[in-house]
Amino acid sequence: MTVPAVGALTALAALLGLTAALGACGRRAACTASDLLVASRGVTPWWNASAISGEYISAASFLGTAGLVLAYGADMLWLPIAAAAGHVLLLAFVTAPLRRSGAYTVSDFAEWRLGSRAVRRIVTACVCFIGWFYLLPQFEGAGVTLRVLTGAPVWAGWAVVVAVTLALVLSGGMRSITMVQAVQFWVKLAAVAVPAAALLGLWHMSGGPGPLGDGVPRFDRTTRVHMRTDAAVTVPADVTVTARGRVDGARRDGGPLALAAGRHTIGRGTDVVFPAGAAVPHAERLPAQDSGTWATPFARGEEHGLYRTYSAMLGVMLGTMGLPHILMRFYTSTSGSAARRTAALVPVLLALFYVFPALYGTFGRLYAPELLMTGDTDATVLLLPGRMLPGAPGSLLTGLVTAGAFAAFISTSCGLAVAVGGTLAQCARRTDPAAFRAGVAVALAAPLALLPGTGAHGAAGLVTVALGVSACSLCPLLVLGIWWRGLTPAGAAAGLLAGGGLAVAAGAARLCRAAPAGWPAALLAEPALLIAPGAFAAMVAVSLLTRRRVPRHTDRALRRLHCPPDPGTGRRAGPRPLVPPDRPFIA
Amino acid sequence: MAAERVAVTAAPRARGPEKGGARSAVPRAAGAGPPRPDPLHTALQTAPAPGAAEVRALIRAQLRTALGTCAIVAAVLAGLPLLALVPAVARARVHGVPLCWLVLIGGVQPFWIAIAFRQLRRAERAERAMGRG
Repeated sequence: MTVPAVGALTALAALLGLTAALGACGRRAACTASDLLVASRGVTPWWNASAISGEYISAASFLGTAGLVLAYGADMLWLPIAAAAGHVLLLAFVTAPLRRSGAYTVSDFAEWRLGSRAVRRIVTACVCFIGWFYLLPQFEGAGVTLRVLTGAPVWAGWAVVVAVTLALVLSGGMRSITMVQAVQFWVKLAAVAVPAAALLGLWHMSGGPGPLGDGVPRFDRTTRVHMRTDAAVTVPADVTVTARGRVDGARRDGGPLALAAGRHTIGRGTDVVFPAGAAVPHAERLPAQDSGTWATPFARGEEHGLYRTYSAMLGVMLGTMGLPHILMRFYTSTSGSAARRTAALVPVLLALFYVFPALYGTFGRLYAPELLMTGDTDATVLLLPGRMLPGAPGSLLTGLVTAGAFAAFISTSCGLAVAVGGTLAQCARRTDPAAFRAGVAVALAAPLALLPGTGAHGAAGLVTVALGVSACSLCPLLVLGIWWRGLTPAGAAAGLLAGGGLAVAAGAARLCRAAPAGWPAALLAEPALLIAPGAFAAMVAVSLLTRRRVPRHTDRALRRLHCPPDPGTGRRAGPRPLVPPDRPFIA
Repeated sequence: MAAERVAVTAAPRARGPEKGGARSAVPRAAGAGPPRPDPLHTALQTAPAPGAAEVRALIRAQLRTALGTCAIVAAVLAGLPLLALVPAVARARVHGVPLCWLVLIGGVQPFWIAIAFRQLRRAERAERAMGRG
């Protein structure tokens, strides 16, 4: 076993130990205090904001963004910006009123606000699809991490994440979820910040190339590239390599081989050794760009680039407002105004974190450019420390990054499993732990079954699909439900079905690699710019058509959503929970 | 229509929002409509609830604040890509690094933090104004 592999596995074990210890600690607390107190004690804004950021930073932020930046460059920097903007809008439109409603989940809110079981069922379906699409990249990221660092088969990573999530959620460790999530945010931040500082120092001391390199990416030393799968690559310039395996269909056994510029196929398991200074071949689906093009938005002349950028930003921004596991977290704030203060701190924490993916993407182009050839761009963050800093310090940093990556997979998976499992149990009107466990099993089993068939999409791409569904269904429901008196159950149902249905269909088509060209491809990949306004419009239009069926308690509901508590009683615990607090999944 | 709504909301409200105790021991079916008055806090029923007109004014004020924040966010998100398309901006460099790259990495997030705190301050001010009124 290689040295970085040992570092990675040790760090993984340490992280799991820490998580188990925090969980056990929380369980003891929950046994001594009543469940009710745990639910209503409330958490300080800083602590809760850490937990929210911890849950939000998933495989996509941790691994995916750096990979996208490495592969596509500046065009991908819009995504973290839109994600933070989504949290600003969440603060402006949703948090305080949602907390005052006392609803624990989005489906509770929908049924309470609109008084309709049917709407609750549709919301439950939307929550399930969002959860499933969002869990896929967590599992896939775990598979990639273990495969890249230890050579384990991908299902090993899936198994670790599913097993740990099940153990944490079902053992009742979820009661301590706030603590686990908050600590894991700081673990994740340290896991990217410490290696990044080391890499920056190293780069500075070695008087390395300009931060963006010059021209196309090149191997900085003689590099052996191992191809894990059959692949087609584009070689930018004639180069002489040595190859062992199959190249262009012919068997090679380690002798020199002249590769002409152009397309070549390389067989599975082939090792190719490139001389220092050779331009890096690119996997066929990735664009080859010189540094100027790479660092400038829209410079690579992608088809419908402006539409794609706007649509991706809108999807990520609105999608962030409707994520069921994030919304649930605000329930642990004591009051509406505490929830609002919590939400205001989240952009601060995200800004701290989001500096790093771009940094890793930039360094990846200089020091791990062969990822552009193998297409494993999600591994950028994982491989860089070992690549730049060989030996024990490198494997120590690799271990740190691995711990952060698994913290990302596990915290997001736990949050989603609880959100989906709880929503399903509530929808079945069951309060017993067995129903919750069944819900959790459904939440985890569906993406696990889908995973082998989806192929390589990259973590960030898959999360974008989940955010798109959220942007087109739950976001309009929350915004209109909180701010507009005129929303009717029929209007909400129409918007949810139209927006959510279309977004799920587009996501499924994208997963199944239906790959048309031109506008259909752009619309299928980034549908939010069309569907999200459509969902808003459908909700408003159908509500206006059925305006006699505005629920009777609407005015009372809006008063409860928007009025702060009386100053004299403001120190009381938050609003009465809509869910009995002895539910097993109360955070 | 509007008059009818006012009539509904003008009815004296039994329990002010956020006065319910999370300590209520009665488990209720999830989301079975708005909560019933809390017997533990019947004393609070005598506290005057804010009038319907006041509530409407507060909601309008909060909505204005939220829409203002939304407009700023939308303007930045819609404007930045267009700005990046201007050839002079796309070519601009600081110490050899494209300006766009620097702005996208470090320039926008601090702005979001400022907008978030502005929104927080304004929303809290609107609520305090209502409390005084």
